[in-house]
Amino acid sequence: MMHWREKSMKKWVVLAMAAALVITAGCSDKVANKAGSNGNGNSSSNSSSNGSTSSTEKPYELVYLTTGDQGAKPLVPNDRIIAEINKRLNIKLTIKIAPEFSYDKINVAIASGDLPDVVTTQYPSSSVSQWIKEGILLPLNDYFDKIPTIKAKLDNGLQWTAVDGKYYGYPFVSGMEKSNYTVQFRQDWLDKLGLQHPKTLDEFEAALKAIVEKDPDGNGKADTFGYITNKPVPGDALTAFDFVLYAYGLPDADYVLNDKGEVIPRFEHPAFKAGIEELRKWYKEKLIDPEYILYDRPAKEQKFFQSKAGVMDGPLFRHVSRIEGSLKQVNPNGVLGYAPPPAGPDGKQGMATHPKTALFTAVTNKAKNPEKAAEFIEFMLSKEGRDLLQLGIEGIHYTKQGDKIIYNEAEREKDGFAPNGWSHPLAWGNVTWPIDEDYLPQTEPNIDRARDSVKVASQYFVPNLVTRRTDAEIEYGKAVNEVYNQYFVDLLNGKIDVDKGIEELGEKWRQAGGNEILKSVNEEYKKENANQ
Amino acid sequence: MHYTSRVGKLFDSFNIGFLAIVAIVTIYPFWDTFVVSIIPLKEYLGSNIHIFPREVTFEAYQYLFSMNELWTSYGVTLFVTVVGTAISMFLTVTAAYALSRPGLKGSRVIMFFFVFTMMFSGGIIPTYLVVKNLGMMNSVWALIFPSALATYNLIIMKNFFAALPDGLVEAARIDGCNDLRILYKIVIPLSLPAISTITLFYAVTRWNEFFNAIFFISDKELWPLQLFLRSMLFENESSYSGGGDSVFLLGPSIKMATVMAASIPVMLLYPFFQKYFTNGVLIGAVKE
Amino acid sequence: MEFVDSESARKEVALRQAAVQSPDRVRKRASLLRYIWFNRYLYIMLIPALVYYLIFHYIPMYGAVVAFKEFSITKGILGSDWAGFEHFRYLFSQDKFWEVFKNTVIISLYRLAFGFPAPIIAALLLNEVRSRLFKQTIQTVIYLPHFISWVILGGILINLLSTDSGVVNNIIKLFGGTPIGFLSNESYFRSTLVLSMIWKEFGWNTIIYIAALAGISPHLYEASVIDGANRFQRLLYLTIPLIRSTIVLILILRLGGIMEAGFEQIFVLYHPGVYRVSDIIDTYVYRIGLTDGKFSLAAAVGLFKSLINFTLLVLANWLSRKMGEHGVY
Repeated sequence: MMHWREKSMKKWVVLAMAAALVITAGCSDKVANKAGSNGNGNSSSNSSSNGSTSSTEKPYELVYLTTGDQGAKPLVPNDRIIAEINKRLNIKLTIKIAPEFSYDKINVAIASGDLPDVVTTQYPSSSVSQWIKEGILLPLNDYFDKIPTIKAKLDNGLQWTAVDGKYYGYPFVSGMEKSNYTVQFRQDWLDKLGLQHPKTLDEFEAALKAIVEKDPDGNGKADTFGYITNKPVPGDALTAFDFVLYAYGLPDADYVLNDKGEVIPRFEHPAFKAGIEELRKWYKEKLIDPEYILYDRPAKEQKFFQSKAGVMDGPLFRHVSRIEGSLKQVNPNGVLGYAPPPAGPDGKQGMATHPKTALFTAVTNKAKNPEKAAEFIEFMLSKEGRDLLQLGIEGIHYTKQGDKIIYNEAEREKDGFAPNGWSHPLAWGNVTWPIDEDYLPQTEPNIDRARDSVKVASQYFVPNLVTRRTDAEIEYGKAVNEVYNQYFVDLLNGKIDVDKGIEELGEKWRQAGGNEILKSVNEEYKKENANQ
Repeated sequence: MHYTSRVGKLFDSFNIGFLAIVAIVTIYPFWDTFVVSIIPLKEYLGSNIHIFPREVTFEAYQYLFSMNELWTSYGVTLFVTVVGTAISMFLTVTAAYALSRPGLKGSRVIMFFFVFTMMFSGGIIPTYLVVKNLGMMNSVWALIFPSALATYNLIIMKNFFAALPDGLVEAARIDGCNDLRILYKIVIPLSLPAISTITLFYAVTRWNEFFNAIFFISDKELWPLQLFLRSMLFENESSYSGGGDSVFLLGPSIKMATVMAASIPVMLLYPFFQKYFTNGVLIGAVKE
Repeated sequence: MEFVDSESARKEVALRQAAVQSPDRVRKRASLLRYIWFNRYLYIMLIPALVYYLIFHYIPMYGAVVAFKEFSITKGILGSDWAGFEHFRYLFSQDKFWEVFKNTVIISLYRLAFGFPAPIIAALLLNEVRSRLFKQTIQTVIYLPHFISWVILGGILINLLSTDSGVVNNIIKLFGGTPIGFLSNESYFRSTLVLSMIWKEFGWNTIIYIAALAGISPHLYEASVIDGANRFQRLLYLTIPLIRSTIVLILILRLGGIMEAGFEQIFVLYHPGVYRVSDIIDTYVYRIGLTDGKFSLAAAVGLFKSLINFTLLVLANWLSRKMGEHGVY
């Protein structure tokens, strides 16, 4: 019986394989033949009817595949902003959106040979590394004279993204210079309890204690928590308590050096242990909401609005208005306060960190006119392009009275601009975010506090020991982060002994890929410091 | 007899009470979602449990219904659901009927050949290439054909058909009816509960479809309802801290209103189909 | 290994013999052709489905070989270099993989043990209800949560089960108990997963049994009453046997999905505090980005899961046929 089964199976496999060969053979031919012709009648392509008049050259058909800003409005057919871009660059732009930040879709499209001219995806990632290795992405170096904005950005702190001296795309690292991540609290409660902004860890703890014990919401019950936060995004390390570690003198955000000058994981630094012991004390005294690990960010904020907790971490900037507005919905007297992270025994403090990940916009080898494709990226990043995407066309979407910009909301809506002076769908999430541009429309009600919150947060950046994310980190980074998170949770809630826990974490962390990471990061560290 | 009926009455009251409690417990998530969609932000933020709204507002629905994306995605989903379900039912009923005929030569091999695909697949890249080579990329057909037939439904349908009395079909065949006529005139009318069940399964799957759309659709104008819904619910952290456009527009009421708008039409299908669930009387009659 | 079509096997044997004895072959072929012609409409009816499976399942099936290759985009799936069992070796060498494999099986078995009977019981209870209005209302109500996605339901669940203000723990406190961390405590997490899965899906899953029960004639019931059967006997000897084939079918299919333990649900509800008991293959592979853009490794994981699912389905199908049921094929 087995024999027959194998036989019939084999038959099917052979049949399927034969059919497959036919299909793939047919397909690769087709791909080659119609390279660039972009056959299957595509997305928001916008005929630049008024665009091509200025040039005799036929407009270059450019396909751009991106995740974009998912919350933005959809691109409308006959979008005048796209038509304007088409006109200025003499291109015919087709934008394909990958929904839900679905990098999977981008990976699959590229792996299937369905290449756009320009693509934006996450970086660094094994996909991008593979694309570079297989020659699918083209180096931008050849077009540097045409793309001054990109070149300036690359030369100014992004040198680490070069592969063998070549730049294969523009890596947009959000939050390199500016951060909005800081400590937020109920200002009205502190006032009621007669407390100043806590400047030191001791004051911070005392404030948490007062919030927990002295019933600041006046409901007659000691039912508030001090500090609340939320669970990390899967694959990211739990960093919500790091400001305590930095206060105890943890010098760098990514790795630390031991006595011999070797790179070791940061949890093996004495400051980590000191910080954890402090945090365990807080947890034991019920200063921290013990269910923080269940919450996502909206759930955390809701607890804050509901007077269930007095202090939380989180981003501000544009959120000043939203958070304070929501707080006032529930507590009309509620006031949002923010302050620098508290300083430790030796006066050290820090909270914001520099990310090592980016959105990467690159030109593929499918581009018939790579120079034009590079110019398109340049345009999105240039002053000219930013003005167009943020404000629109002068006289149509806005008018100027001196410095004041008057938005024509009716016209803006026709082209997919978001309301209240916000931007075109193509403006954010590709090569920049509002915070990195310091962009707030003039309609923003709390514009000064929003900007101030960024200033406060940006003062307490914790440096990284190593700038670049190594290949081993791409490969194992998420796995070791998960080990770290598991142990961190147990260390914090007192489930395991501190010394034993850190030791075990060290072992498991190394097993999960930490050994490879340390090896590569040590090399990278030496390389980076030799260059200086 | 007396004893039995007393026990029976006791059982009836227990049964009804138990089912009522179960229903209350299961309706809660739906009710909570509905309540959040009609209460002001203030009330939502104030409490975690929403049972009785104190203040009712339909602002969220007004905002939602003013969004063009909602209506275009309704259009796409409606088309995909109606046309897709029709195609699926055609494929399923024809194949299930043929396969349900006892002793049809080769039918077991064919069935195995179908079931095999429930577990083994070639992955997304070759499927992407097939869709692309058929010229379906970025069209509604890419939402319809790649998952036109669900083997699970085919199996269930076949099982229902196989339960019909054999004599019926054989008699009709001897009378000179061909199988197409038998299927159309005898088998389908006798299987309305099964047909409605499978139609419901397909329609709901179609309505809730988003996976194919993520990969095969790149134009927001062709987004089905579920992608629109997910874009309303989905909050990306980088977009959040970077301050993109998304995060400020949508309060919880609008999100939950979208959930309601995306699910109520399809929820109404079942009560509609229910009337066919009692027509089984016929089958039994024949069986005896 | 009964599952091979014995008829096709017999046919093959017959054809082989026929190849030697040619007059016989002609006769056999003629009779086969006559058979096919007699059943031509049935075979024609199979064509649309066959075409569908061929185009959308069997043509792409070659992609599975990528699990044994080092996938290169420029070379394509078939042109990529062979890697043998390298990806499987890598996968199996990870301690973590076996931990998540174990969790997958445990959670899946819990789901099967409790989630599988729940809709059957519900359908049988509903079948005993005499008021049609009440019955249809309950049916409609219990199927509603199926349409609320886990993202929403997860948020609602966290609120309901919260230790400081959740309804469930408030009730526990009311009776003098101590609050339970249903979602934060490792010892309760799996039970919470399974119960909430049942909560969401049992109503939807009753539909198929209700449809099966709709096929039972009231005459049969009347006859049984005349025979003096009480309600329990009727349930045992009449109702259950009539939906038995549906139950068996669903059970076989559930076994064929043993490696699917509910990615979306777990992904929404779990957190580092409960990874040890709730991390399944799908969540693990996704979370640590094991397969981010790595099509070969992703295919290897998929193939591993498929093989286990397939083996169980084939075994279950064989067993059910042994016991006189139809089976899925």
